[in-house]
Amino acid sequence: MQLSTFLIQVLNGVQYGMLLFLIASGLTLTFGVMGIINLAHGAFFMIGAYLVFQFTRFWGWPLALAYVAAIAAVVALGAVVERTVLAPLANRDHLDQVLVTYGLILIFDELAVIQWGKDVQPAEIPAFLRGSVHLTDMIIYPVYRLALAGAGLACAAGLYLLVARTRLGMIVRAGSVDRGMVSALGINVAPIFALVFGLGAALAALAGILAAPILSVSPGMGDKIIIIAFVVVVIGGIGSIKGAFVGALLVGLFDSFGKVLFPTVSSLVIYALMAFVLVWRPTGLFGKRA
Amino acid sequence: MTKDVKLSRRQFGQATLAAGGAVVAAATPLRYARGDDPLKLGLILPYSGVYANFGEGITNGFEFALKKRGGQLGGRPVQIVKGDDQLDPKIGGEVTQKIVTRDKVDVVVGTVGSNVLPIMQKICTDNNVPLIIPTAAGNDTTRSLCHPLVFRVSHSNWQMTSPAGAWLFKRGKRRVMTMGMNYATGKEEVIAFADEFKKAGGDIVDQKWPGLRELDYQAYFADVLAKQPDAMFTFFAGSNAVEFVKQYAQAGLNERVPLLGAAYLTDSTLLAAQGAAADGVITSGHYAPTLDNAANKAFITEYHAATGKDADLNAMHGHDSLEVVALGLERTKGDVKDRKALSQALQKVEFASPRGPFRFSSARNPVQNIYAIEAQGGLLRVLEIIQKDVEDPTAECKV
Repeated sequence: MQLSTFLIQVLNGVQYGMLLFLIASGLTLTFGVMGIINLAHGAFFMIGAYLVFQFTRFWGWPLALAYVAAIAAVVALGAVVERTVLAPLANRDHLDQVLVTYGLILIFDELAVIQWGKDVQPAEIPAFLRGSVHLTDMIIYPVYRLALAGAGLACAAGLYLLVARTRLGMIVRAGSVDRGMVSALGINVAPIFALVFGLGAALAALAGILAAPILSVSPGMGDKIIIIAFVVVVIGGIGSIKGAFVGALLVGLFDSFGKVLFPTVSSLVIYALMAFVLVWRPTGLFGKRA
Repeated sequence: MTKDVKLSRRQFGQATLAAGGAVVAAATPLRYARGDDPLKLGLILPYSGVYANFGEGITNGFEFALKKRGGQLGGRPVQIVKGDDQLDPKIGGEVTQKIVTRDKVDVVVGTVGSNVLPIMQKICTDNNVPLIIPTAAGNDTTRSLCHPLVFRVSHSNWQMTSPAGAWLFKRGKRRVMTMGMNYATGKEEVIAFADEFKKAGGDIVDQKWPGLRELDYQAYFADVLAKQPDAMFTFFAGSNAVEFVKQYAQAGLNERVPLLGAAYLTDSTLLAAQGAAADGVITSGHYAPTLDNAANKAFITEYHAATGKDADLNAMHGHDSLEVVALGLERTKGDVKDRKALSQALQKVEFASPRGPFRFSSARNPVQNIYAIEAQGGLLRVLEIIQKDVEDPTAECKV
């Protein structure tokens, strides 16, 4: 493999990894604090993308406003879902929660079909991020993808500061170790849960909005990416933001090199990676020990 | 933690099954006249999942064509029983079983997924029920698996792309790279092209097979630049086609390596989502809504007037499926009980389809023109006929 090909695949891997991190981080955050495996995360991803489509195409809003409004709307939706659907099930079995969130996927997918139809819808790239740059004479790279990787890194930094440096982050970290003890210490977990769930939903919506110009806006668009996001979360260790970051990078790099080095089995490469990690560390790279 | 994940997966499966059990089975009586013995048609398509828009478009075209015929076929009122196969062979099999044995339909029209078709075909032929296939294009269906009661309205995979092989060579392309979705349809469509291109004297420099769940094609593109082919020939469909075409253009490849493919790549329903990324992409296929013939012009106008929607490939497939049944039943005067007579009547169906002249080969696959179609400014433009009256090889079909 030529050096330039190697470097471009590293860039591809990091860039794809950052996209995966955007969606996996919200997933792992929700699980870490609330213990909920939120399958509906993929639905929030989809709704974020669809709302931007609705706001820009039908209501003519500028893109920046549409982004902010879509994220706000998904956060609100997340809070409502958490208060009305998930909170009453807080003490129930994981399986009940999984079933409920799976039901939410079906409901949201169907609502998207009713509102926007079954066709694939367009998503614009902001004007200043269109076009591509020459990395070498031969290799050109879309500016938008570089921006996407930047957004992923910025989110990772933001989450790191939030989790490591704030009081909320402290509770989140404590919660991911022992939720019962956190509430026993007199911390009212209910608003924290709603906040974290809202933040998770915001990350999902942001990921959906940013991914839409590269992917496609269609019913069930979240279902395809949520599976890989779960692979990322499982590799990194469920509940760990750091794990999600490392897991996303690993999956991104393995995926992009797998496509070049083992083209015939490339779709298996990341699952082989997951199997290897789970054999080596059953709780994932940064998961709490059983 | 791993235990939770394992359990959740099992639960996931159960939930999927439960959803599958709640089949969309809406009986729609159309113009039910008292005393008339209605003809029951089973319409089994993917109404959910990635090809849901195929199911919807086919149904719209089918119902439009039925309404145009006054809701009657061969002088009998029609009752439609719908089923959602969810693009899943297991669910598709259960739904077909129910509609064939419990609802006792006279004719089944289905389906889109070539993964679902084999089980559907088996249930229909085992029960001696005619099957009209609106889309699923696996070559075997009208070759080694052909059956006197199984008629295909769309095309075989081979038929759609093989004429493009010699055609592209004639247009001066010598070194071509291919990419296709890694499943039976993707392979058959791309390999049919590649075989003919090589036969004409061209060179296939590389072949890539991304998975169905692929999200990001960027990692494949470095290789395209390194190998510098004269053109890229592809098979992508549905949202994968949107993603591939957009990413190909975003990477600036469309200006260096012209993009071609089977017509599903830039289907008219996808053009809005693909935007300018689709400009200049050339596909080979049997239909475009802008095709210039009387039957198509009438179809496009009347369909729009009746449904408020723009007709597309799926609507055309739905329309032609109904036409095939209607013209067959005209010959038998509405009788479906004599299967041999019905099969012979359907075999003789010949009409001016919106796609151009339509007739069945001896293997009951359409004999039809294949066109070169260019996407430009959100519209498809037919450049020329690549080959007239293309017929899928019939040698393997013995019955």
